[in-house]
Amino acid sequence: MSQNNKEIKIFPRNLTAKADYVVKGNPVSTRLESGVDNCYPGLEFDQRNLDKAFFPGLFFDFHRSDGAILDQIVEGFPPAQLGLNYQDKPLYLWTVIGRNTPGQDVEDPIMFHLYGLNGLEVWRRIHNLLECRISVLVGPEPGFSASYPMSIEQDLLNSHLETRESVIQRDEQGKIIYAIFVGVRARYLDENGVIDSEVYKPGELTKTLCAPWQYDFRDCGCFYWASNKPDLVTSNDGEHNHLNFMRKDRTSNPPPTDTPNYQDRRRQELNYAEMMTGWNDLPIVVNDRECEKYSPPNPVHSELMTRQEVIEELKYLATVEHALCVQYLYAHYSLNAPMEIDKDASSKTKKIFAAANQVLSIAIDEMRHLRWANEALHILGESPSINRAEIIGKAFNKPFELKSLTREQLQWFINVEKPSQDIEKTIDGMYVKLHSSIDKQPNLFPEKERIVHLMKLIIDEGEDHYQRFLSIEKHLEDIEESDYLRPLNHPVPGSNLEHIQKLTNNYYKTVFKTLEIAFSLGDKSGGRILEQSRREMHNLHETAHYLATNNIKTPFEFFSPPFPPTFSTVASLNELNSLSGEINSNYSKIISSDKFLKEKLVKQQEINEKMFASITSIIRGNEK
Amino acid sequence: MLSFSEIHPFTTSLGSHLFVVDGSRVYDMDEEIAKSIEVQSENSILENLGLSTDLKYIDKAPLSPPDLYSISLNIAQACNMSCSYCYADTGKFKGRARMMQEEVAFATVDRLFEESTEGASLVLGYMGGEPLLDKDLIHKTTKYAAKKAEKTSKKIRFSLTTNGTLIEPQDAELFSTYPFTVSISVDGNQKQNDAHRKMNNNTSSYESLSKGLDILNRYGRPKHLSARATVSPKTGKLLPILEHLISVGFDDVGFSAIVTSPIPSLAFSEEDFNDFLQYMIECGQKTYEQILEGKKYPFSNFETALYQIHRGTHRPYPCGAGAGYLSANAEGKLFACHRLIDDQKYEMGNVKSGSSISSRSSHLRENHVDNIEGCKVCWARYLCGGGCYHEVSNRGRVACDYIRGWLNFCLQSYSKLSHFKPDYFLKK
Repeated sequence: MSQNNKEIKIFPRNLTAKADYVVKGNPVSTRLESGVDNCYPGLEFDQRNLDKAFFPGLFFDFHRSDGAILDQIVEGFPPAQLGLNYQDKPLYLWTVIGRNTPGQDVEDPIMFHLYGLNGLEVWRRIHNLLECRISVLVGPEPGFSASYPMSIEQDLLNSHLETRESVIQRDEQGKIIYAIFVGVRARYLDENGVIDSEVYKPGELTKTLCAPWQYDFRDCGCFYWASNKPDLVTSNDGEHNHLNFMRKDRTSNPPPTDTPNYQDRRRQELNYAEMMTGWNDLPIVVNDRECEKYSPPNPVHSELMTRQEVIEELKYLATVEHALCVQYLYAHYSLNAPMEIDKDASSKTKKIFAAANQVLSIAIDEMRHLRWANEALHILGESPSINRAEIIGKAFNKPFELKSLTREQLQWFINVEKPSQDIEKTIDGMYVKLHSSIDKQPNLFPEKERIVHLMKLIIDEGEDHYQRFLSIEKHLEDIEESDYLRPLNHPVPGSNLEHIQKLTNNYYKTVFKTLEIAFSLGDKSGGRILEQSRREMHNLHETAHYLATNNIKTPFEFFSPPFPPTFSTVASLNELNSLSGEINSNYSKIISSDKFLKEKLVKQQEINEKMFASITSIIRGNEK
Repeated sequence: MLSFSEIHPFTTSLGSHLFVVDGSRVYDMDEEIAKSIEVQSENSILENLGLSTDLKYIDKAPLSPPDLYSISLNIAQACNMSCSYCYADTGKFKGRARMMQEEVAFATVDRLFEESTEGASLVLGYMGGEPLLDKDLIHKTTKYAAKKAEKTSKKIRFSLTTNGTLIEPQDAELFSTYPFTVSISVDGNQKQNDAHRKMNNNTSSYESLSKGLDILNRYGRPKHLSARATVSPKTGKLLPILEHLISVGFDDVGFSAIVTSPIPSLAFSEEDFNDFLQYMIECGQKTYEQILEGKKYPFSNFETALYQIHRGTHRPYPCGAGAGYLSANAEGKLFACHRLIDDQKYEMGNVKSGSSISSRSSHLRENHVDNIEGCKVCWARYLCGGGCYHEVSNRGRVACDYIRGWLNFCLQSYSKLSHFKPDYFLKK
């Protein structure tokens, strides 16, 4: 392309020429003014700032609820030359005349009445004004609520169409009654097509967005800054609940409590300017409580593990995750809470339900940890580890046991999930050790980048479990053990419930068999088998709940003998087939007697058949 | 005029224009640019105008044989006429007269479905000789193909090239029931037509085809009815013929110059093309004026060229022969096109066992216009494609100046029409 653009005068005529014609520069849709309602935090700039200078010689501010207000008067332009000065403020935009559609008749322009419009709505009308002659009517009352005689708008129209002159009407004291200015709608860009630096100062277009971030930190909803900014905290000593985290008064004792009224709340908080300078005085918050000081834990020092030790430990920890998951599930079913809560339930039932839900969510987390541990093993080139640990935690040395959520059992759960710097003892600590062994020895772990984040995920969630068990303790503290627990018994031999119990246990086994297949195939199954496994978990959950409401336990009997250390597709398919056969035989033995059995089991059977077919075809597909 | 191989500057009453060969792009230039072109090399012109692209619209890589979209069936390698200029040896293609069997026709249909893309829009052509000599087979094959299409995602249309002398009411019904394009060979009014288009029974072929047209008008017109007039060096002015054939009511009328003929004096020499070009331009000019006035004047050579220029059609081959189009002879052997029937050089498999990918590949490799001496430096190469295989193989390239002259005229007409009557191209 020649350096001198003026030399280039060719015009495409046919379709290929038009399609081929390359215009240097950005497409028209990237021009500043072509953004649609571009006013909100998170966007590239606030268009209200761009349109502030729409009228030559005047700057308006649209960031108001009562309309647009005159902000600045620029010397050397007609309004200032006519005598408009800063003593005349405040002045608001009342009415505007101009065109907003190409081809509109010059003699029949549109009059935009701005009464009842907030600043943003005024801006929308201004933004659409084309580059042509425009006239503005300003007056001393906010445009939102201004009342003025129609004759003034007629004057405005006359000025616009005929005299093309600006007018300032003052009363005897020299106070402005109204003013009409006629001019050409200002351009944003200078001759070179860039933002006019005479009009817009650096930072001006973005100043009302998330930049600087302190504005956003103050304004933005809690979901945006959730991890960094609590809305409410408790005091340092824990005595005062519901303090506004951003309150400016940090000296009163007791501190002012938070108020639910929005306006009052805002008044309590640091304003923008204070936030800019004072954000670093906001306290550290740990466990929802303000701290005067916070020291990060000391870095962990321990002997690093070899690759083989890491693998062995991961394999063991995966079995622990399995064991914990099942123990938590059993505890969940032992709580006397329905599967879904009725809004009219008693407060006691609601509390037990809340506790049960927490336990269930932790059990689901453990299932995820089992998956992550196995993903790490897969990355390390190992077979999956799916079996269930007989002993939980080398330091605890506690045998696997299915127990209802008695207070004693709850305490044991709290202990096992307690975060600890004693890395040799707790489950959490072992992951910390694995993490640091992998992280610090990239030569032993070329797969490091893919594994360390999995370890970190497990560690982070583990810390949360401890907190959640404490909250479960709180939910149940006022309720008698015998009230919140259900008795869980064995079913009568040969009864429907016994068949359902067997079915439930088969679901349990299927879940783990399919997980083994999914983990061993890794990416090759594309998550499809995991999805099937999840469906079986839902089946398991439904029937286990049904049993529990009938005071029958789910036995969670695992495969005997447990899975061999190496995975074989053929063996797995055979076992899946025999499981499928057992499940079908369970279905046939169950006599439909109530709604659950009639509706749910039919659906479960359908899901199950599809699942087995689907897994078989995925495995066979992979073999090809 | 300077001669270029990558660009072609031309002028109209609007000013200067530039045709860029790669991509068949048409630009307007101001006079300054137009003058500067005279003193620059082609490459620097394109470079300076920002029109040279790293990625060529057409590179030298030959096309791989695409899926088929059309096969024509030589229903009858025989004819009820003996036109003096017939390139096909009155349908026999230098062999004995013979008719296609139903089994072969159906197998050809199957072949087209077999070797085409899912969802494709297919064309089954009936050629000859005179295909209506076995109209029963045409009826059966059409129904067979239409039924087959119903069972697939593919659509099928039909085309028939005929002398129009054998059309009966049931044929008209067939042509109007199924999506047919019927192309009738007719050379002008009765005198002009009957001069070379002789019936074997010595009656007037014009009268017979007029009856055929009446039947079409009465019992059902095909979706599209076109006239193809064959022009010899002795034909003279073309505009009266065009006027006449349009007045008869054809949906479009086109001319085709005789390049190969058993009677050499009926074939065009290079010099003969000079007059032909002038006569064609007269017809084009008339059409141009009619279009400007918003009137319909369906001169197909001109309108097709305008439309292709508008779209920027660019291709390194003259037509789809041997690529997406093949033609089956009476025995079901496949050839590159209906004019190349029974020419061993262009044999490309058969309908039973399938088209020969290797012969189609080598055909496409050999005939890429950028590989052809002479053609590869011609600015018109991606519009012309190198000329009809049949004509070139018999006569060589005798019409190049005519083709360039005609395309230059069409480029000029396009530039003006797209300026004065842009709506015309929207309708297309």
